[in-house]
Amino acid sequence: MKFAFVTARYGADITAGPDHACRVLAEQVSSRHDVDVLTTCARNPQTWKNEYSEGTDRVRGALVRRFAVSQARDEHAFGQFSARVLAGPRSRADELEWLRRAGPWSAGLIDFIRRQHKSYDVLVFFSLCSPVTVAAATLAPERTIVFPYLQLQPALRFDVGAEILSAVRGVGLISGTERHLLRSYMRVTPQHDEVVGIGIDPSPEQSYPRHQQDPADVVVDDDAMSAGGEDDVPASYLEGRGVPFRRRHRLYGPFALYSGRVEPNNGCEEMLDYFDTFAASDGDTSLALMGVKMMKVPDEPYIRLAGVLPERQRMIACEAADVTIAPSADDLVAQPLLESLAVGTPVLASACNSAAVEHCRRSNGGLYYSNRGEFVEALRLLMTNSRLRSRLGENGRNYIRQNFRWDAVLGRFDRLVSKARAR
Amino acid sequence: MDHNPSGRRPHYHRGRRGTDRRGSDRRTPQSAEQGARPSADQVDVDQIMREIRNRISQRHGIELSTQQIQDLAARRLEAILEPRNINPTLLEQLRKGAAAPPDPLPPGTDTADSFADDAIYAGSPVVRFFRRLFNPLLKLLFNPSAVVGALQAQGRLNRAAATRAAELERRQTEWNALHYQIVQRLVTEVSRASIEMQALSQRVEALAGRVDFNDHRVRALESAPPPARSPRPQEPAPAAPPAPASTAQPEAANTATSSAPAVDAPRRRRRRRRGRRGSIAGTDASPTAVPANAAVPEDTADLDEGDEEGVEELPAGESAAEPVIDSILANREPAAESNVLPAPSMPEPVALPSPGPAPEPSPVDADPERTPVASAGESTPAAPAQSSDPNTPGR
Repeated sequence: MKFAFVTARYGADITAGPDHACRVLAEQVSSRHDVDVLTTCARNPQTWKNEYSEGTDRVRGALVRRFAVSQARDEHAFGQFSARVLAGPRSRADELEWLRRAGPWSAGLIDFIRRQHKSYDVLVFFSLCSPVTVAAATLAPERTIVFPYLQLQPALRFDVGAEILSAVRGVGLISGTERHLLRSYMRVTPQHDEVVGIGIDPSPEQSYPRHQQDPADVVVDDDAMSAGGEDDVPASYLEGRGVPFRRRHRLYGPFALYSGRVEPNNGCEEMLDYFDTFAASDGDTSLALMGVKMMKVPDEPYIRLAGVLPERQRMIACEAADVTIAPSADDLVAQPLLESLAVGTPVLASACNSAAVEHCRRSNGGLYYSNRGEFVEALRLLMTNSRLRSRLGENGRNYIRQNFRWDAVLGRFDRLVSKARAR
Repeated sequence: MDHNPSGRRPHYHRGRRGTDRRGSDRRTPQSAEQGARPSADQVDVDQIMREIRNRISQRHGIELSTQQIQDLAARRLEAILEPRNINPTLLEQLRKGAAAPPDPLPPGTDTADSFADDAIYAGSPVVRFFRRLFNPLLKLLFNPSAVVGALQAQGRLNRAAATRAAELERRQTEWNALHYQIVQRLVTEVSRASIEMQALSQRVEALAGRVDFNDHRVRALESAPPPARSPRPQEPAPAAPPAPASTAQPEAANTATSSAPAVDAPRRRRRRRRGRRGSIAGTDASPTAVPANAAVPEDTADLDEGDEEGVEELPAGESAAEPVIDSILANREPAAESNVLPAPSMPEPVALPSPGPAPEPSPVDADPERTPVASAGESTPAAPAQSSDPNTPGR
């Protein structure tokens, strides 16, 4: 089969949102099918400037076709227009104009889909709030699947969104909370819908490089030494994973890990503030921040910056951590959370993120917080109760193994496609 | 090849805290069997979160459950809304509107309310026939098409107005529901805050009572007669080694030397720490100063809980406790310090036999890590004591 994945942005540096979900799905589907990714040259969702070069490229098995954005976003004008449209009565034309101004509007991309959509067996659109989706999803609704990436926002009240979701053949969902929004809030009953999500493959059992298996590298416990246990060097210690991360960043005590861009939009300010309160009562625990630093981080001894790490290293970091904190409030994909559950590290997630809370409750693999007191108490409980941690970790591993391995995710995707193509 | 035959920690591991503190249970590699079977003892995240919230509530002094707070808020909301002045059905409508989703827009009524061109000729067949018959005459008198057009335009306007009114009504219903929910939540939060405030005010009262009690205790201690102190030498005798008790020595020295062997090794180590932390003088205290504070009263040990241990463990050879007590009293009431703890009279140094040369500095003094410089996080209570106690050795 030949698929067309249509998304607003596409790139390895985009690690959240519907574009990220599109990329990881396209990369996996391309191993079985012929996949074209139709996207724009934009990278920044605030400006929609053309930053990637226009043209065709093959990235990890998928053929990526980029089209220039026709109209950059005027933030001021959009803000004024948005205030008028979202506050007062509006017509369908207003809604379409709002979506067009929100961007990215790419006439070339829409024209390409209009001309070439017959050459694809299935068209998969990502994000309902994209003007490309609104303009092109109804060209061939009998072969179209939309991943709407629904979040509680004013644009969800637009009638045009409900029309599209009712018209297309299938609706794919990243999280189960989207289904609730779809049916209760938008009152749309799609023809076919399926919670697909994204997959996580935990890193396989790995042997570390030779120099790290040197017995001289064994970190000996002080207590074991003092007890005269010179022969009590834990033989299985090097089998445990996460050791390189701890060693590289000199994290020898308990520590919590944040994985993602360190920016206020991801809830990092709140997390650092709350952790400061926690650290005032428990000075032994460190907080490792892993990702691009986009904000000022307080210079505290308990904060360690781990920088940007590749995927394999990220998993090792998750394995090394005692707890992973997921403070983001609007990330439906919640990939750091799923990665952490996959390696058996319990999670402390923000209760504002309904998708993360759903994962925690369904898996029984993590706790969530909605204020400072809950953050401190939950983190203290997780850091002090190793038995609870191990139970939560096991639950998380089982949850990921049963629901979010790539073969399971692709099975759900194939089921949605087959439903959508059935006559 | 064994790179570490001795089993000792290599130099680059110095200062590390040891192995992973999480234990080995999480570190065992996962197996397929483990993944297949469900975990034996399940944990319930919701239950854990409920317990956490209960713990937070209890710590804040709230013993009411969420449901109780909501009931309380509902009563307050009724009091705010004053049901006597408000139509009760309106309140019920607001509640229903907040709970139920808004009604969808009514379907369009284009065909029902449309005005056809020949509608002005409608009637019974006979009447319609005559109207048709005289239609040319009618058109001579006025133009019926304009009337039809006006009526059709009016119909369109009516339909648009009805749609707008329905939309506005729907919106108003949503706004009402939203306002009702906001007010309800505000009242709930106000109720919660007022309960917390009551709990906090009770806690403040309790703390104020404790402060009063402590003040009384301090005043009682201050008004108590000063403890009897035995004299101690003004200048330590560095050349005198810790000599065994002799009959020629004064009684104070006898007391000190007789108590010294009863102290075991851990106590001695604690003494050194205490002396280092307590004052700079502690490190400079020579063994010859042993008799000086041999008669430090034990009853001063209950001056403060924090210093109780240190005062009780007063070493026989150090004078660290006096600066500590002095500093506490100096902080409490500096002006009355001279009355509370008068400077002891300075007797002449005890003439101890000096059998040999000056002793080597003790390991405590020799250890560079034990230099009497307090770390940043360490409290230095000896600082005011140095200024207040002229007998501090080292000055």
